[in-house]
This record gives sequence, C-alpha cells and structure tokens, in this order.
Amino acid sequence: MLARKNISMLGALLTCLAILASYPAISQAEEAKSFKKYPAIADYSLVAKYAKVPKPKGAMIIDSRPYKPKYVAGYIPTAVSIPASQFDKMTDQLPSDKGTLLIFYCGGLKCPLSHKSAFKAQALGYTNIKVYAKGFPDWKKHAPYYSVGLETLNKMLADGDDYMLVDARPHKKFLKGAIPSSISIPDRLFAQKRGLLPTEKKNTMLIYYCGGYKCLLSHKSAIKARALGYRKVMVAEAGYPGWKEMYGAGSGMVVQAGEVEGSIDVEQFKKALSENPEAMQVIDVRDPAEFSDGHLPGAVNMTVDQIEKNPEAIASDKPVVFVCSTGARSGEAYYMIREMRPELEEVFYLEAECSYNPDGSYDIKPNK
Amino acid sequence: MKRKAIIFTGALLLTLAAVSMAFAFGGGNGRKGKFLYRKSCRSCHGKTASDLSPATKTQAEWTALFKDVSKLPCNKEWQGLPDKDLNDIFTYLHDYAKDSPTPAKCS
Repeated sequence: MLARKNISMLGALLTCLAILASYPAISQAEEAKSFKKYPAIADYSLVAKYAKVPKPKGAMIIDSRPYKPKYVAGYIPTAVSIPASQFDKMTDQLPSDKGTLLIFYCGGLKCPLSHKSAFKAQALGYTNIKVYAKGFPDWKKHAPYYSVGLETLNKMLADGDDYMLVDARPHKKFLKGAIPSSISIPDRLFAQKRGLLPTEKKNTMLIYYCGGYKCLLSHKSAIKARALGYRKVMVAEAGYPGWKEMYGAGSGMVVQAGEVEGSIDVEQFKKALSENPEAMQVIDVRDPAEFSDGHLPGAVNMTVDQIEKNPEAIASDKPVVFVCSTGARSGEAYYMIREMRPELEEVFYLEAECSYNPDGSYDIKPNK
Repeated sequence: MKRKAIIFTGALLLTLAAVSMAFAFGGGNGRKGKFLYRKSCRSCHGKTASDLSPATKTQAEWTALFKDVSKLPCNKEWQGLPDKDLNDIFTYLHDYAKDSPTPAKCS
C-alpha cells in the first residue's frame, strides 16, 4: 500500500518535471498563438520610407521594447521609445494629431508588445496605425544601418570595446568639443578621407554621430559607409548635444598643479588614472614603438613632432596631460602647446619617472 | 670729491658684477629649454638639427660655448633671444650633455 503510494507520487513528480522541462517551449508557442495580432501590418519598405532624417511629416515610429537594455542597444532610426509597459504613462509622447501614421515595432514576429501598444493607441482614437511585425531583427537584416543610444556608447567606451566612433560634423565643431574616443571625418570630406576608416569591413563597428536628432550628417555618412562595404554601421542620433547633456562636456576635473611649472600633481594624476581616467585627456608623446610596448589606460599617442604639425588635433573639452618616460618630452610638448594654442588653459605635463608594461600596468615616481 | 669718485667707482663695480652674474648661465628651466631649443635652434640648424643634440658635447663644452657665441654660425639667431630663454636652452643642453647623468637620446 505504502509502496504503491510512493510509486504514484514518483509518477506525479516525473510528470511535473516533464511539464517543467517543456514549459518554455509550450509557453512560447502559446504566446505566439495567443496574443491578438493587430490587423494592419507594415513591411520593411514602408518603415524605411519614414525612418530617415529629416523626419518625414505625419508619421512616428515607436519602439515598444523596454528602454534598457533593448532600445539603447539598437533601434530603428528616428524611432521614439515608448515601452509597452509604460504606454499608459507615456501617452503624452504621442503626436496630438490622431491622423498621424503610428508604426509600432518590437523584437520580431514572436513579440506581442507592438501589437498590444497598437491596440491601446487605437483605443485612444488614433486612426492610422500599423505594426511592423517583423520588427527590429528584420530591420537589422535589410537596413544599411541602425541607431544606438548614448548609454551603449558610454558603456563601450568604459569597457574599452573595439569600435570606431566618427564625428561627421565639420572639423571646427569637433575641435570645440567632441565625444571622447571619436575621430573627425566631416561628412563633406567622406570620400576624401575614407582612407582613415579601418580596412576590416565585416566586423568593424563603425558609429557615426553629429549635432543631434535633427542633424543629417551622421545618417549620410552611415549610408556611405555601408555602400563602401562596412557591415556594422550605427548612428548615435543624440549626437554631441545629447552627450554633453548626459555625460557633461568636460570632466569637471580641477587639476592641481604640481611644484614645477606646468606639471600636474603626481598624486592627483595617479588617483584620477585609477578612478576616473576619462576625466582627462592623456597624450603620450613617446614614439609609437615605445607606446605599443605599453601605455596608460585611455592614453592617446602623439609625438612632439606630430603635435607640432597638427596642434589643432588636441580637443579642448578636458584637461590635457602630456606624459612620456621622464618628463623631458612631455615638458617640451607642454611648452610647445602653450605657445601654439595659448587659448587652451587646462594643459599639463607629468613631471615623473614612468615605466609602462604591456599588460597595462604602470609605475609612476615623481621627479625630485 | 674724492669720496664721490670712490662711491661712483664702487657702484660701477657692483653694477658690472651684477651684469656679469646675469650672464652666468645655469639653473634655468630645462623643460622649457628643450622646447625653445627645438623652436629656436632647429630653424637655423635645419629641421633635424642632427649636428646639434645635448649629447654631442660635455657639460664643460656647453658652458664654454655659451660664454662666447659670437663665432657660432647661427650667431645672428642668438641675438634675438632673451637671456631667460638662452638660459633655459643652456640648462637643457647642460643637463642632458654627454657626461650628464641623463644624456639625451636621439629624440
């Protein structure tokens, strides 16, 4: 009696396990079947007509996925983020004209979020609604490029990911302030300067930005880059204005001067290096061969000769600190830039004995 | 009258001493000197200034050279440089001379 009960319990347990194991498959299939699909479906070509800058009038593309991590990681150009879960709270983001074409999308055919939001918009009285059911995966497959949020860019910057960030604005704007780690290739000079782009086209992440949501330049450059054969092309639509707002133009770092004229306090430099290296612009003036044997995190290599030829290449949005191995060459760079670009106020050099290792570690001893 | 002459002579001697001291080089800013050397000397000696590196001479040789520059080929350029700049350049050359603790390398 007891034994039989045990067996039946075991059976029940096994059934439970079986159900548990198959649960994800069942639930997905059920979901795909169960959610109510919005009848008006848009395809890629229709969306592409509206997903460009300047924004065509009378339409709005809405991303129904969560803002983080989905929207910031990649979205259809010009799309506004109204996550399905926040829809009721964010109706003020919708256009006031109820006849505006609203195109909702999310993560593809299995995703119900865009359909849900479309029905809600319908209930609000909008008359021209479509759902791009194939969603973002389909967009990525067909479109020349997509957009990314600055949060993603900032994370890639912090993680030291491999990407190339290009400022498509005129060079003068770049000099006044730019997103860290970017290089300047004005859209107007795209053809002329295409030699600056990496030769590897399949895996290189190429991210363009310019003067914000209304700026065309990054979109134009992105399309050209795709035409050249680059496969991973993105646009950070918020551009430099967005960056300035979110992460600040400069670093806000107030540099303490060291004892010697023009030098930075060595202790402060070491502290900033380990805690907030992005707050300053470290320029290593040693030869490229020395630099490639080891250098400070985030440092940029520019020899004194290169600086002399192109002093304008130094951006002014953060304090500049020149480093080398003893202070001799960096001191030279300091006095040179003081003379060539007297308008740069926050320029310093490191008066210290430094050694750099290939693994990124370093040793800095102040000179007596 | 005689006393006045003594005072005058004394003042003159003092002034001379002060002037000659001003021309005694040393203790300048070697970092700035490196830049000034690059800026002022290369323009005359040529872009690479291959004949001209701190490590081409000893400290004593640099000191001697700076005492009388009238015969140097680039003497004309020297005239236009303020004493302070010259002193900085001297300090750089002297501190990175052949027999200094840290002779300049090729760069």
